[in-house]
Amino acid sequence: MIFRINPHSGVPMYLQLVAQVRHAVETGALRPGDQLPALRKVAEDMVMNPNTVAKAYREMEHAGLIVLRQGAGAFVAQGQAHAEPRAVQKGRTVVRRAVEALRDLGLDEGAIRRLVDTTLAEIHEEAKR
Amino acid sequence: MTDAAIRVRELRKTYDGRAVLDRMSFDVPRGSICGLVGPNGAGKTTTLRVLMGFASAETGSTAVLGVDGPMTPALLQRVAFVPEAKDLYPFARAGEMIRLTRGFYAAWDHALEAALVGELEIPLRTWCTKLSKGTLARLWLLLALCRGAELLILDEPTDGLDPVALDRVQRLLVRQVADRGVTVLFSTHQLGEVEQIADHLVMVHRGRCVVEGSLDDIRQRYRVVRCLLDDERNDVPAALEGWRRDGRFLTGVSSDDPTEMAERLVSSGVQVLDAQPASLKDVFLDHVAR
Repeated sequence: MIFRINPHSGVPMYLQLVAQVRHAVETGALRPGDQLPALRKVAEDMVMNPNTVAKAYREMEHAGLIVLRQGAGAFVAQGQAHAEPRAVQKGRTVVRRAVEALRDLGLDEGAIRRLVDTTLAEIHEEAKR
Repeated sequence: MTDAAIRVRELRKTYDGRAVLDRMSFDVPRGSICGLVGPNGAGKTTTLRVLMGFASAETGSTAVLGVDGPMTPALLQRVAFVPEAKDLYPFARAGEMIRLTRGFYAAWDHALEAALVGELEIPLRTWCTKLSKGTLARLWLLLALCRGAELLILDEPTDGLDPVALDRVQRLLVRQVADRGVTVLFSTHQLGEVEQIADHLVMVHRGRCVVEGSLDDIRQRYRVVRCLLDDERNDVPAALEGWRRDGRFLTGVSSDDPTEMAERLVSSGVQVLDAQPASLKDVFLDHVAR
């Protein structure tokens, strides 16, 4: 299993799973048409609540990241990855610059990480409103 | 008819004039894994025993699998219970204990029994009195899981398990929920276990439910907020009463929107530094240890 979830981080586990699948697609580790493991397998392998995995899969389907086919399973949606690796490359530069700027402000690694986590969670909540 | 597997309303019970249950109310949604947490003496075991009909409450009501009132024999076929005290018959070996229990339940899952004897490493020929605490816990789980119950009520089912056995048991519970859609209500002292496999939480303190809801909601609702007091300010504003103070820094757990909070506090000379997602431990300590 390529995913790694931290149940104690305070970030909902389903959001962590969505973020990791998204990242895997963006970096090309998962390609359009690739099958995701069955829900019960993810639940058992990662010792996660099956309802939480189902919630992550629903969220990913809603976001157009994956396609759920009745009885067949979950597949990475077509047209997802191609343009993305370049965006990820560019993104890396943006993040690097931002992190260096935050360091210059005197923030340590933990503080930067928390800021990013919190900001992501806030944006996610705002988008739901 | 609700979609709650368990409904607890306003339970009250006193021992020697002391309230062990004080208007205890919560729901456990069907198909969920619900963690029941709280400090010692918070009323966890008493609540579970009232649900099972082993203890009675003075006032209040319960409903299990949509059936109001106390446990009935018919309902007992659909509910499996693991008690806090995991004693078994002293005159039986582990294997005999399984055979004895099997006879009581029409829906007994023989294939699962065979699988679990291996998976949970049950020593069939050992006398129940000679089993270690961890082995007893695993045997009790086998007895509960094989009954084909729709609802598992487990009082500290993982107490005494080593990390390997704990991981196995958690996978097992997750698989039961995924495959058979059972509902699990389990009590524990280990918040980590709740964070790992539960999707619903009931936190109790002094006989009362203090936090209840989906774990995802709770994770998103509560934050650890750090504030900085202005130089000229020495007293703590009323809104931050009870927060941990370290020099000019104040740390506390809040379910308020951090942006609104920052706006509210700025006029009283407090700056909100950051608000990070709270762990279950943060929420627990905030409600219980104050």
